[in-house]
Amino acid sequence: MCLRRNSAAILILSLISVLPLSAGELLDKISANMGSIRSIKSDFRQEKTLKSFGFPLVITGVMCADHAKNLFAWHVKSPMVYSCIISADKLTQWDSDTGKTVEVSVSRNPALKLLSETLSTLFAGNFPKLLTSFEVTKEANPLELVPRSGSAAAGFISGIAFKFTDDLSQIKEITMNEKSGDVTRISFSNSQLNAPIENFWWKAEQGK
Amino acid sequence: MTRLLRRMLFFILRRPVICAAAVLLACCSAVIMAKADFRNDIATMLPDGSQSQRTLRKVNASSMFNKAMLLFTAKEPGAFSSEKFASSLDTLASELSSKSEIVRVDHRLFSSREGLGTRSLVRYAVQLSTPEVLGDPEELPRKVMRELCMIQSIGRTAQLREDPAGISRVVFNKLNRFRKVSGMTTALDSSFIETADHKNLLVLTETMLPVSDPASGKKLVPLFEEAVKKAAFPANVECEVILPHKRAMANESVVKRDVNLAMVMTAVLFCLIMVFFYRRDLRSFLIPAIPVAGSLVSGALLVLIFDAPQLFVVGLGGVVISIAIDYGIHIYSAMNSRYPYRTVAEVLPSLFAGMITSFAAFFMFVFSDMQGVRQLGFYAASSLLFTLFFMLAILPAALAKRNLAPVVQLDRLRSLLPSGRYAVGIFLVAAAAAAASLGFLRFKTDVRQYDMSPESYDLAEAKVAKLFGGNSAIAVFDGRTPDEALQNSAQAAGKEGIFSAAELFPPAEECRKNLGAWRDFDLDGYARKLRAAAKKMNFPDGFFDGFIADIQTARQGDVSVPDLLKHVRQRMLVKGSDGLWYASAIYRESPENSALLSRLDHCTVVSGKHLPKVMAQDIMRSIVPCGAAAVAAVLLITWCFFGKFLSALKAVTPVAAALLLTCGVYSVCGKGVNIPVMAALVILCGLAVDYGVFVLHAIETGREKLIFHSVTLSAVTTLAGGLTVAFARHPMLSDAGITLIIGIIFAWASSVWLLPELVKSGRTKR
Repeated sequence: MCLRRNSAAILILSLISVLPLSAGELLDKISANMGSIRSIKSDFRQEKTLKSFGFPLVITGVMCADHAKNLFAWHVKSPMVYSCIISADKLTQWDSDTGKTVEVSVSRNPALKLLSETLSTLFAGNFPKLLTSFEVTKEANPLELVPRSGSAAAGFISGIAFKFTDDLSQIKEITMNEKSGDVTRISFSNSQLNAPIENFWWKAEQGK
Repeated sequence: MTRLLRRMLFFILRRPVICAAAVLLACCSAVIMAKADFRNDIATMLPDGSQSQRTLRKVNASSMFNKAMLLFTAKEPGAFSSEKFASSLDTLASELSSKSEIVRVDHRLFSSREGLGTRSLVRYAVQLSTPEVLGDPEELPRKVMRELCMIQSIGRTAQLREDPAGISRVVFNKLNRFRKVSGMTTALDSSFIETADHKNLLVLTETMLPVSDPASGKKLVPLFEEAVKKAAFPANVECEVILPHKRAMANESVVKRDVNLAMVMTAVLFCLIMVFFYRRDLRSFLIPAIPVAGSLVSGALLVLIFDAPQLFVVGLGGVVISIAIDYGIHIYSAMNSRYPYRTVAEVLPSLFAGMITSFAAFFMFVFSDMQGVRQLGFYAASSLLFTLFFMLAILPAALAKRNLAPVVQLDRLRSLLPSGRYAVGIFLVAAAAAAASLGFLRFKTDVRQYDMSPESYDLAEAKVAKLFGGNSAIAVFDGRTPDEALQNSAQAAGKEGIFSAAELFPPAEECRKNLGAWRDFDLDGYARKLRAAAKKMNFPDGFFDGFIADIQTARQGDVSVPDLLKHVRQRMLVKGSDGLWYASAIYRESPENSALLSRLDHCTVVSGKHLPKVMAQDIMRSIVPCGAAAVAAVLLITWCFFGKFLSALKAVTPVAAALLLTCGVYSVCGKGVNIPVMAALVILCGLAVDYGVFVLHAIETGREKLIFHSVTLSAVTTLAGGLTVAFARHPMLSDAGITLIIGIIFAWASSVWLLPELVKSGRTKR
C-alpha cells in the first residue's frame, strides 16, 4: 500500500490520539455525551484552503457512521462524485470519473485498519482512548490541540481544533492547519443521530 | 630396526642429562601454555577454502551479520510516546554511535517526519524507471483534483503537487516488495521501529566485531550495558540486549569448563589407577605424569607454530594421555621382570611399532584441510612421540632399583572370560549382527549440535522475529567496488521470493540506460500539455512546474539517495573488513531459492537452514578421506612391522572388531555418528592396533602370559581417558569420550580373547 495514503491514515489516527492525559472534565463530558451515539448521518462541507490556490476548494457531501456495524461512509457530491466506504475489513472506493470500484483489504493494509478504527472512535466520541500524540492547548469549545513532537502527526499538521455542539454531543466542525500552510475545515450539518441508515448509503457506487 | 632401537635406548639410558633436559623442557612448555591465548573458533573446523568457510569469513567480515539488537518492552501503554523515552533513546543511539566498535545504529525508521521527501523520491525514481511512468499529461490535473477531493488527501497536497504522475510509486512499490519478501512489519504511525501494538520497540546496531569470536562479545557486553545505563530509560520500559556474540562466549565458557573438568578428572582417575594397580608405588605416578609432560611440550609447540590454537584440541589431551600411558605400563611391567633392561629392549620394538602406528594415524590429520583437525593431528602425534622419548629417558632410571611393588594380578578377571573356543564364534555372531545393523547407522552432520549456548538466546532471537517478522534469509554479492557488488546482485533482481539491493539501488549501467531514455523524451512538449490541462481545471499557473523541474534535474544524472532510502542502502550495501563491498539480497528461505542463489556468480548464501547443511557437507567431504588415510597408514605400518601380510591382518583384528562393533552399537541405539565420534574412531584405530601389535608380538616372543595384564591395564587407562571427557557438556568432547569407552572394550576383548585364539588356530592348522 502506498505510503502516501498511509499518511492520511496516520493523520486520522493522530486525530484520535487527541486528548491529553490530563484532559479533565470537558473531555469526560464529551465522551459521556457522544458515547450514546450509535449511528450518525450528516451533511458535510469541506473547505480546503490550499496555500498555492487563490481560492478555497469546496467539497460537499454526506458522511455516515454506524458504530455497531463498524461502517463509515464518505460520499462527495461536488465538485465530483466520489464515494468511500470503510468497514472493519475493507475500503471500497468509487468515483464517477473513472467509474471504477476499487477494493482494498483492511487486514492487508495496517494503515487502513487504523483509519477504520480511528474514524469509528472519533465519531463515537471515544476520545480518552488514545492520548498519545496530541496535547491540549486550549481546553474549551472549540478544543484546540497541537501534535506532540516526535508523533506521526507532527510531520503533517501544526494544529487541529474541534468545535462541538453546545451540549457536547456532536462534532460540529473540525479545522486542521497543515504544515504546508493548507487549512482544511470540515463542518457538519443536518445531523441525524441514532436514526436507521438505509442500505443505499453503504454502497460505493452512488452515481451509478 | 630392532638393533637401531636398542642402540637408541641405551644411548638414552646412559645419559641422565637427557632426563634433566626433558624435565626442563616440560617446565618451560607449561609456562608457554599458561600464557597462551586459546581460541574457540568454529571456522577452524571448516575445510580451508570450502563454501562454508568462505561464507563464514564473509559473515565475519561484513557488519551486515554482526548485529546486536536492543528490544524494549513497554510495561504500560504509551510508554514509547513520552518525551522522556524519546530523549533516552536518542541518548542511547548517540552513546553507541560514539563507540568505535559500533558501525551503525538504527533507532528511527525515517530521519525526519517532515513529509517523505517526495521531491527527492521523484528525482530518484527517474533512475529506476523510463518515461512511460508519466502517463497522459492531459489527464493528470483531473486526477490530482480527484485526489484532493478524497478523504485521504489530508496532508497530501504538497505530495500531489510534487508528484502528480505518482512516479515515486516506483520506489514505494520496490519498498513494498522488500517488505513482503522480508516479512518485516512495523507500526506505520511511529518513526521508531515499533510493533503495531506499540508494546515493543527495536534498536538495531551493527559492529565489525565478528559474532564467532568470544572476545568480541566480551568487548560488546559491557559497552551496551554502560550505554543503556547512561540513557536512563523510564521505569515503565524494559530493555533487553540481544547479542549473538554471546553464543560464542557461552560456547567458550562450556569448553573451558569441560577442559578444566577433564584435567581434574585426568589427574584424579589416573592417580587412583596407579594407586590401585601398583600398590601405592609412588614411582608409578610417573606413568601418567610423563605423558602429561609430553602433552605440555606438544601444547607449547602448538601455540608456537599455529596462529590460533584451539581450546578443544587441548581438551582432548586427556584422551591422548591415556594412549601414551600404555608405554609406561609396558616399561614398568618390563622393569618388573627378572632381566629388566633386557626385557625393556625386547618390548621396545612393539612399543615403537605401537607408537608409530598411532603417530601415523594422527599425523594423517596434519594433511587435513581443516585447521582444527590439523592442530589435533599435530598435537596428538607429537605428544605420543615426546611421551615415548620421555618414558625411555625417565622411567627406567626411576624404576632402576629393585623391589618394585608387585602389581595387582588380574588372573581372576582372566578366568572370568569364557574359553577361547567360544571367542571366534561369539565375535563372528556379534560382527554379523553389527554389520546387519549398519544400514540403520545415522550421521549427525548438523553443526548446530555443537552450539551449547543457552536456549534463552534462541528464544530471544525468535521473539524478535515473531514480533517484527523478518524471517527471511540473506545472500551477499561481493565486489571490489560498490557498483560491482550491485552489478553482481542484479543477477537476483526481480526473482520471485527474492529482493536484491540492485532493485532499489541499481548499478550505474542500468541508471545510464534509464537516464538515456529520459533524455530522449520530449519533456518540454509534455510540460506544455500539462500546463494547458491544469489551466482548464483552474489550477494556478505554475502549479506543476516544480514537478517538471525535478524531472529535468534528475535526467541530468546527478541525483543523491533520498533520506527515506539512505538507511536501507547503508544496510544493504556495506564494505567488509576484508576490503570487499557486499550487496545483499533477502529471500524467503526455501531449498529452491537457496539453490538458485548458490549458482549465481559472486554470491554467498547465508541462511539459518542452508549454511549448516553446507557446513556438514564440507566437513564430511574433508574428514572421511582423512579418516581413511589414517586407517590405511595404520595398516601399512603394521604390515611393515610384521613383514607378513597375514600377521598384519591378525594384528589389526582388534581394529576391525572395535570399529565394526562400535558402529553396530551406535546403529542399534539410534545414536548418530558425528565429527567427534569419527575422530574418536580414528583414535580407536591407533589404540586397538597397539593392542594387536603388543599381543601378537608377545605371543611370537613367548611373553603371552605377561600381555593380558598390560593390555588390560592399558584398556583401563584408556577407559579412564574416555571418562575424563564423557561427562563433558560439549558434544565435541563427550561424544568422543563415549565412543572411546565403547570401542576400547571391544578392542580389549578382541585382543586378549579373540586374537590369541586366532593365532592358536593358525598354528594348529599348520
